[in-house]
Amino acid sequence: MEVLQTHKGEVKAANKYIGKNIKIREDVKLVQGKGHYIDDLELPGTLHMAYATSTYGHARIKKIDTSKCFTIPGVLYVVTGEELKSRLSPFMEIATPPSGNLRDYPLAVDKVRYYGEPVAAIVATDPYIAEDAAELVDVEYELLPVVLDGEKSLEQDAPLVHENIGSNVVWKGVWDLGDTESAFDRADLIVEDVVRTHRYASVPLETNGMVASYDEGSNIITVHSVNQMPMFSLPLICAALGIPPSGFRMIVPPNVGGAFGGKIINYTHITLVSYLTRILKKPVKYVETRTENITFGTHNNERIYHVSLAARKDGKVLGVRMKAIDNCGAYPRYEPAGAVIWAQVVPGIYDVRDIYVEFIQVLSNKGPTGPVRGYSRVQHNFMWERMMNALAKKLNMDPTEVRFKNLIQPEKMPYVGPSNTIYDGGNYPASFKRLLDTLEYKKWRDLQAKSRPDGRLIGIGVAAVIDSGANNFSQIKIINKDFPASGNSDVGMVIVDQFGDIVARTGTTDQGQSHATTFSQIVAEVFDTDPEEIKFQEGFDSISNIWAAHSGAYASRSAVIAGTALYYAARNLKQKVLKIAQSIMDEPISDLDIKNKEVFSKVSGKKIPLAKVASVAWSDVGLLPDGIDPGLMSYAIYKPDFKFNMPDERNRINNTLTYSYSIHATVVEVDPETFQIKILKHVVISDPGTIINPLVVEGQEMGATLHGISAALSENLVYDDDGILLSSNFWDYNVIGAKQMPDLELLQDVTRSTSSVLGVRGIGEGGGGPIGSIINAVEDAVTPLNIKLISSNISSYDLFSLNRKNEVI
Amino acid sequence: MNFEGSKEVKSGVDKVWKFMTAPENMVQCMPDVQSYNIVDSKTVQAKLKVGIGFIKEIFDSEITFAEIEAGKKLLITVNSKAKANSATIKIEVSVDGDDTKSTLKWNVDAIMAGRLASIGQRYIQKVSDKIVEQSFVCMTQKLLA
Repeated sequence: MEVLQTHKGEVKAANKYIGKNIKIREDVKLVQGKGHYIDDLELPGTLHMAYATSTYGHARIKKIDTSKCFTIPGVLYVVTGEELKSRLSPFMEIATPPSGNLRDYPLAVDKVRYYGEPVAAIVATDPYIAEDAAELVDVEYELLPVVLDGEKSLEQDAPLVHENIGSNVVWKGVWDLGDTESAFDRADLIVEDVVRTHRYASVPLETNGMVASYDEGSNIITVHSVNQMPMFSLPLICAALGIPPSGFRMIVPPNVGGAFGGKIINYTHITLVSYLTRILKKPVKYVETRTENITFGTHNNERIYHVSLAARKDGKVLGVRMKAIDNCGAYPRYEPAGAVIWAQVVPGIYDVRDIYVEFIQVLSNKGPTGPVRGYSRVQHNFMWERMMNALAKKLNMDPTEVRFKNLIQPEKMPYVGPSNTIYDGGNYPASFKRLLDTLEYKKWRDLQAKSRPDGRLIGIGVAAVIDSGANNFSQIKIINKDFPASGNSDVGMVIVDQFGDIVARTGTTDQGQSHATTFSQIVAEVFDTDPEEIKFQEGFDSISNIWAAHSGAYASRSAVIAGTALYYAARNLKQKVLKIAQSIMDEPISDLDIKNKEVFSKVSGKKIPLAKVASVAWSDVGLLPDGIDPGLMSYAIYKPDFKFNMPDERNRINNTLTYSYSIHATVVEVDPETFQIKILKHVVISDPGTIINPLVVEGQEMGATLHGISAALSENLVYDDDGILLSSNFWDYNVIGAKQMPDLELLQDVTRSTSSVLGVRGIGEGGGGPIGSIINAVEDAVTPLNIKLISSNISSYDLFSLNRKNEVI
Repeated sequence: MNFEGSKEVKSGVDKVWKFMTAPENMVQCMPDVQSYNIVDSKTVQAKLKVGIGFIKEIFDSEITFAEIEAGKKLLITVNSKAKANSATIKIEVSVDGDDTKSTLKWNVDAIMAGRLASIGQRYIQKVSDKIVEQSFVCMTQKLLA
């Protein structure tokens, strides 16, 4: 049984509701179609917007003729970048100049920089008219050479994506941690390798969408949108529109159909519909098509690592040096945040302290990147797991043996890493052993050896990820010391209303994570009341609901930060309830407690309903004791202490509050003729910290695992040499479905987080684990064919081609 | 995208050259021409229907003819636009032979962009190859007629 322990060290009695498999209240509503999503919103008189998009990867816009659009009845307005350039400010950039001078608008200005970039927006009375009209936009282009590869982008004569910044470099920095020179001097061997991660996407079930309306009377623009980081987006939008935040109301509907990071950089569309509603004085709606979502929604950063790893001959890693080149596409919209976010997991799960990283982020003529589940850390974790395998191969050791040599030991927890990240507990070696036992590692190795002479290609791979959760925004100051955000915060509000009902709110948005269920369990624990009795009011509203400047749902933070704020708010409100009850019941407060919406005396047994206390608090206020304000409403804002709160001169900082690990083990079989890859077994072990609802945690972990499997074996955003995206729809961009998914075995070794108040860890993002374990397993399987893998994505076609190149057969 | 091909024609070089430098002849040999307008001796505007799989588009095209080497080599440039699609195709055609027979050779350099290029990339090469091939088959037939 988990124990709910406060940050002050006081220990409550064993939990009654936290940790219980309480039915997920959202599920029934959602499967019955009773959710409220953005496309369900149809304000009276709504107009619809569609984009005309670039047919080229890089081209100068010589002329745009929109006249033909108006030949279709119902078309009301067409806007191009030329108009926006004079009416909006370019979006604020995180980076400092020169790349901070990059000019980004909702529509292409002067030239298009990636295939599918919006060049014009058409507003019409219905969405189909708008789409038809979009096809009549006539753009005259002058083709420009494209640059698609990160390394080529750095070459002297590379085409410039944004000429005014003078190069394609967005940001570069160095992490010089420990003493790599000494580590390399002491090493028995050096392993050098290249590791590449591929481009894939978030692909939520619901695409991006927004509806903007303008009230002339109040001069307020109201936007309903699926944005998952509204308080990050709001200042960007307001600055672009030239209006104060008080003139802009941001609402996120109660239900958002998945996000996985892909609903942060949609502020470009929000700005555009806001601009249009102010002109047209009618609501304007835009919902992405699937092709648009895949083309310009959010792509994951491609990264190339050139790594040198110094080790002893017993497999102990002494140090590592690397150069990482990160390709962020045509516009760094949330970037270059990813250029520092990887540093949340500098050593992976390994006790390596001498690390040197040169990190460069560059532009290219590909779609914009942004957070995708496991943002920026997936790549770094993958690099570690590939290098561990490379070292094992060089030493002719079993890959698991090399890992055991290097895992952070439990007695070192909490582990202060070389960049001052504080890993908050967990027993990595014990979990790894349990994982291998459950997989039946030895049995598979034996079968592999026995079946290879028969031509069977069986492979086993392991890999780990750290899901660092509840981010510390101060890390962005490594990029820009004047960036106006640091730390993290969120709010919780608990109300006992006039009828005695307990109502909770937070500043988070829900994209399917079951916040209502989870947060209700926290409040239920404090009030010792059935969670079903807790009303959770979902939906973000910047004017009428509570929020903090970091509110939203991203970076595995909701349970850790908003959950704590809610816990404090509930605890404070409980004290107020007891104070009022004390005067009503004439009992000492120390004798009173709450259970099932009743206040009772632990001594006399006397009890009154919560509704009675509420009645006095809200309306019968003449009966309130002296010094107690009317109402039963408690608001708490929680700002965690990260210990190393700000970056030092060596870029060291505790980048997040919690560090949940998951380790994956995969057995695959590759068909020697068709090269099809089949997963025979996949086991995951993780430590999510104190579990609030096991069903919710299992769902998150399962989703993250499936996302990773799909990324490794299927999802791939492929561009041709001219910069045309070839996988822009579900025909070519295959998200693996339930039928292709293997059975998963999910294990947990639970330890409390030593950093978070509730002991919980963020667990929403562990998407990268299967990528490493699958690539390692596939490479292991094809060992007899002498095929080396470099990328984080592999298909049967790739294997076939690699095999032909090797001319083994 | 680049591809090439050749065809034998049982006609003399002069006849073939005369035929291929008359824009009307060449345009009529392009498959699925919906309509055309001869602007001058070197320029034609045409509506060309192109289909890749189930996706079919009518491209507004401007076709220009330029002699690279009189009597021997011709450059045909096709600039096409359709809804959310565009194409720039350069076809270099050379003719060689004697008074009785000739060899036509073509080298095609095509840049396809937009939805067709994105969705139908894996078929474009074959389809384009087929369209050019059909055009030259038509040409040889007309020359023999």
